[in-house]
Amino acid sequence: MIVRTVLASLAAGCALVTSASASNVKVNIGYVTAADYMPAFASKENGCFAANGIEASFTRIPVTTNMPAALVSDTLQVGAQTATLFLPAVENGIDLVAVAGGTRILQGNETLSLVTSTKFEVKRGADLIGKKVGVPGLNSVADVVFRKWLKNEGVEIAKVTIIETPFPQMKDLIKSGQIDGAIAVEPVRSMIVNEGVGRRAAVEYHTAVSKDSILAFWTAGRKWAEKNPQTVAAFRKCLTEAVGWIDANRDRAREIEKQYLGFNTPVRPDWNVEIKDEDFALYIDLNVELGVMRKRLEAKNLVWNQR
Amino acid sequence: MSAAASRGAAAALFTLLVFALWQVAVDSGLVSRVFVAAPLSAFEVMIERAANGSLWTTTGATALRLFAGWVAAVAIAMMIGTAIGNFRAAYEYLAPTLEFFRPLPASAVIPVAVLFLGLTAKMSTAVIAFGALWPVLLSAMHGFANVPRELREVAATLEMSRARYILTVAIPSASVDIMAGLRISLSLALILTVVTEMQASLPGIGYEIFAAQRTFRSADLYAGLMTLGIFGFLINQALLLSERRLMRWRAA
Repeated sequence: MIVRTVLASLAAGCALVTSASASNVKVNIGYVTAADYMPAFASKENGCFAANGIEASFTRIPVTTNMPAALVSDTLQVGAQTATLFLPAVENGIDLVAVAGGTRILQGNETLSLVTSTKFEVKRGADLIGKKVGVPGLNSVADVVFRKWLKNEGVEIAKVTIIETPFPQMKDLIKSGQIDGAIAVEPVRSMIVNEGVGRRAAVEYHTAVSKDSILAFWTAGRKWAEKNPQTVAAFRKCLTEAVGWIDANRDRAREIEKQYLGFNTPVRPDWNVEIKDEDFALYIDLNVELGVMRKRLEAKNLVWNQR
Repeated sequence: MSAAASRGAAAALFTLLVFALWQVAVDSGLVSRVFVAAPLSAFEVMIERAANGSLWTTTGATALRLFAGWVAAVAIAMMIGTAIGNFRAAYEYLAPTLEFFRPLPASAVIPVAVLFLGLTAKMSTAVIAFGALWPVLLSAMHGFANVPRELREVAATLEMSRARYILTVAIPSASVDIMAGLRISLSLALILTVVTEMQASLPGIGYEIFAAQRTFRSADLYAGLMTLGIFGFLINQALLLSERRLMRWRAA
């Protein structure tokens, strides 16, 4: 009798564990090396994801352009994106949606800037004529907004040589004179300036184009989002809570940042989980103006909303 | 219809069949149009580019870069190959070092080239030359080592100078091997041209493919691939034609 009771309890316990695991949704999250995605890392490490049914794993992706293919093939369920890459993917038939915001770039707290060799100073666009500038990716948000700024400054874009330069190479290429400047994100920007290799431009090109715009955000395949609405809602909830958690637990947050990114960023990005269709209007205009997109997409149905 | 014409027609038919199957696969949804463009869509992009002139400028840029690197590769390879193939001392001094560099993949040398030469056309030419010289060098060495004994004896009997022997006996004898090396070298040079264009954002077919991939324009991407394929086919045919003309004396 006792043996039967013990065995029955064990079986019930196993069933509970199994059903709890079965209700957890496996979400493989792709990210690139930037502090913009800290709230997601924190949500895993502080247990929020697990407590809300998300069995999260992270995959570092070297280039954001690979994110859409990874989402469509279901290698990743959620992936980090920026608007200038997300929008052309949607334009060309890849059915992705934004599921949560990541960061915004605000005037006064720019997390990416133009840095140049110490041999010259940039106060306006014309100072870059004939120079070589590295951007972290072709058609990245850094590249597109930079080109828009040059255009606004009356500079013919063809007179500035724009070269794709991965973040880790920027410092060495500026130091050796192979490039004259680069659009660098933190902490690469601080490394270049603090080591005396370069200086920040006197003008912040991104916020000269827009004082407040989305920078990084999270995306998923639309079909996956429609199949997992609770998971999307839980993902957003955890990220929102994580922003406050990071500010309240700075030391632990720095450990997590080091664990996922390999470095600590000196600047706190403007994390913001809220995202709306209208946030994409600026980038739709920029992409069309600069030939990154051929069709002017409507800023509608780009953000997945739980109905 | 002659045998050659029959073979040509059969090859063209096979190519059309492959394109037709590809079109059907995309139209039927077997493969996603987002990642695999239909051949007709790719052709449309090529025609559009031909009409606006960009096809010719990008192909021209790739061709110039390719030939600059390839000609440099052939010149260097022939100098070293002739020296090693005809002078014992050169073989003993140079061959071990060359054996060290030969297995290095040219694409692995790109970071070093970038460090020294930057993301420039010079870097591209250097990488192309480095990668493309080995097939010509090795085939030249092999060709010179296998000059028939009878020819060497005739040259010795006629008391030919070393230079005369190389120019009139060794090089013509080794020409079959050298031509084979040139064809392989040209294909390698094209691959490296495209890779360096992508790496350094240099104008050309490689950069067009790279840019199309970054904007998810699959029709443009496949148009670039087709352009590359046609260009590669044409330059190979040009080399074959040159070989037939230059080597006519062999058939006689």
